[in-house]
Amino acid sequence: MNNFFLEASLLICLLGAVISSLTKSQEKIRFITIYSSFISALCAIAAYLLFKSLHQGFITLSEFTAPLPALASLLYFVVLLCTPRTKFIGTDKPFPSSLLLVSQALSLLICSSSSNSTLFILLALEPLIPLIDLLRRGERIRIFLIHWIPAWLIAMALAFASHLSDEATGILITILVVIRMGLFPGHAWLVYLTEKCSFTIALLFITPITPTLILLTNNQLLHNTHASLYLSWLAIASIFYFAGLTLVQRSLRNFFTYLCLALSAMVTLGVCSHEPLEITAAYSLRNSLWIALTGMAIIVRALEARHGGLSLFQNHGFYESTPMLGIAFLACGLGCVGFPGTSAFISFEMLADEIIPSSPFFGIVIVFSEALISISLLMVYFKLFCGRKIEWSNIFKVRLREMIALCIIIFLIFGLRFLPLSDISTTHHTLEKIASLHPH
Amino acid sequence: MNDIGPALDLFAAMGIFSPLALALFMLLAFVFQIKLPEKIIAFVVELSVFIALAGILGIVFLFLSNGVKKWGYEPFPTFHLESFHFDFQFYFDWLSLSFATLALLLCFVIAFFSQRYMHREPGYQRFFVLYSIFVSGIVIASLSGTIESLFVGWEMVGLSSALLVAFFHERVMPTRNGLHLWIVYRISDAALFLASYLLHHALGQGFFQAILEQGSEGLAHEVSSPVLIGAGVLIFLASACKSALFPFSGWLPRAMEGPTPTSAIFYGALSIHLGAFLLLRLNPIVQLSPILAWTVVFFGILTALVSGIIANAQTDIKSILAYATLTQVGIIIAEIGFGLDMLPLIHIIGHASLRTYQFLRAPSSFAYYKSLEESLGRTDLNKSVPKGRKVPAGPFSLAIYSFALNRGGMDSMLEKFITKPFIQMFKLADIFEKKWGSMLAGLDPSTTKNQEERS
Repeated sequence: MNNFFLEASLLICLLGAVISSLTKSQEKIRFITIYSSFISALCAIAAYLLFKSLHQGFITLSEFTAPLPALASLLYFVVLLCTPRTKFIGTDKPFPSSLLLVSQALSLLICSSSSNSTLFILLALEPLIPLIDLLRRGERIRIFLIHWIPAWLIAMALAFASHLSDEATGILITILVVIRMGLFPGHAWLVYLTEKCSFTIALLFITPITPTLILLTNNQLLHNTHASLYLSWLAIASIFYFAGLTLVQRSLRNFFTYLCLALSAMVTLGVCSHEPLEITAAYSLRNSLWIALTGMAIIVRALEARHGGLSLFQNHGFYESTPMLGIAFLACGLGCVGFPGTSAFISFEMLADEIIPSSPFFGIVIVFSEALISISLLMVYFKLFCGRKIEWSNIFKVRLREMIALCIIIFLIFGLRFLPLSDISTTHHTLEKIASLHPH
Repeated sequence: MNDIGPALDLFAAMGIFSPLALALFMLLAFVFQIKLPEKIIAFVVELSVFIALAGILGIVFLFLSNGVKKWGYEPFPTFHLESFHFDFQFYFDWLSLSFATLALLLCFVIAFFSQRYMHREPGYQRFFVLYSIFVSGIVIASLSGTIESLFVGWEMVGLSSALLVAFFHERVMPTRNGLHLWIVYRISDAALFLASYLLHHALGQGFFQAILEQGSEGLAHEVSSPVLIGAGVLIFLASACKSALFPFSGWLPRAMEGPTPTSAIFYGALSIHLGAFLLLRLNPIVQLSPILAWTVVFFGILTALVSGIIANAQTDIKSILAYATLTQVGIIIAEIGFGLDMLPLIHIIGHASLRTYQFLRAPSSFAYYKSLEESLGRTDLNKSVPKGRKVPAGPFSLAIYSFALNRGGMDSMLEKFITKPFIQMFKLADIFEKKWGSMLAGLDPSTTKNQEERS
């Protein structure tokens, strides 16, 4: 028997997207979106669990990519599950349900893809989702196009041009990664995106730190052409710069964006390395951060859905009315900075431990930036959840769906490393196996 | 040794896993919003701390009765991946057992005290959740056998302390003070992390046992001294932040915003001595360099002097106690700098016990004083109130008095020369970011600013 669960997962998403775009009742659209995502997530998890026992289907998974589609679809489902009903129904700007399902399908493909050219094509297609949403919302797209027209051209060139020299490829990948990852100075469009785009679309676009896969598959080439060196310097500058910016943000969304950018840069720095341990650490860190940042984004969205845009000028005192969100915010924050017990802990320790010998300066900047991020996280926690008590009505209380979603996220933050194929040793062995199969 | 092996394993598991199980239970109940009755919470906390204490005392008994002096306990296999290894090991010797016994004994007393003190407090369960994380952290830190396990305990203590200082979070000041504490603790964590790396780099592992067995002379012969001295400097920085040495003392009076039991256990007894414990544990590294050892002595004495002066000008009982505590901690640090080992430990135990008592009595001391006076027949207490001291007149005395009133100007100095320029730099960067973003998006920057102000 073949393992067709991943194909089924993909088809269900696309089918759900088509049906929801043809449906007029917003209540039905909500139902279709959530259940399509749920069934798709179940199929992706089944594909992961049966990865070793069944033959591969049309989409071939490797040991390396096996857990990723399951994680991606689970996080999509969790995000959709806790999307407030008011977002789907009764707003002047309808919720982009079908776009989200298409995005989930695209994410599944990206996570299971192992071919270089396919990855470049998918990476070029991915930003179309937020672009369509921006157009749908009537927002300006100039900043988006300034960054993405060259990026699309580069992605197409990398996918289809076969006569590019290694140096040219290295430079092109560097530019593409700087733009897509939002490394300094190519980050302005991402800040704009989280401000103007639907936050659900934006969070699902930013948190997966997708270009990690491109950097992994082209690691040797980047190393040979010294592109990894340029990327490392850009990444280290970005880590410090964005970590510092998280301290002075006045709006919650901007804080979240800079937090994502700083942590993505940290992953980039690790993946750019040529040391297997550093790459393993960065890759494991990426998966842990993906979960923690998604959890953080869910909380930001939940708070904004109740209160509107939140400024960090004053204390809001949300703890008394929504303690669950406060606890989850702390858990996700700790997951982001690799606090002991979270799945990012060992990855972070290993990353810093491996970076210091090759460059003590980079190591010190990483440790210092991590301290800055943890300070800004607690500062924002105090701003949001502490302060005068507000007597809120019951409609602001955390709903059961939100509770389930947050519990899943908290479980993953603390328990991801216990899942088979997700722990650091397995990742390392898989990376080594890949390296031995494709000797450079 | 083989005969008592299983018993030692059992007692060690009791001592280490009982607080961890408590923290896990309390956290799960808290996450799932299960409101536990006060009596159940108090019972579970006291039982767990008691089991841990019994475990540690059991080990002490076995050590004394069998003449064992040190023993390593490794509950989890070492995480090992090529050159990277993460050793989570515990080490039992006279120092770790003494500090762990002291910690658990005081935690047990405070748990008893808190169940009444915090009675009907809306955040009763939250208090005990954080308290249980603190107990786990302090047990892990005091019994740690490697720098990695110490780091885990160190971070747990830091987080729970910051959140407990901000316990009364409906007021803004406690949260600001909690954040202040967190900032200093994160500097401490970063220093400890880098020290742990240097120790690994120099020794190939971070086992305390190896460091202690080699001693300063053995270490000087075998490994590169500059690296170890670098580690020693970082360890001292981590300890200075944790023990509120000069110039990091500013957080200590701020930490008194938390509930009284936490002031007693953290800033009178355990957290404040954790830095001294770390220095004591890794004293062979400090003693490698006479300059480093004398620096430790200098900062210890300076802290003792400065806080002694500041304590005299304080107007509330908790601040007086905080600075009095710091005076003694400074002396303890100086003792460690001199290369002593037993005296600082005895000093820590005696001082921590006394301060716990004083902090716990602080809120009721005036009522106690009143009842004492009344029992002596003095009913008009206003007559017996001291008139207060005159402000010193000479310019030197005034300068000292002003220095003491400003708490040594440490906070303002750090803020003026470090925090403010740093934040200002990033505020300018943020303004630049907004303008750059608006320009690229084709938006009017003033519109963006107005939108933000409205928000």
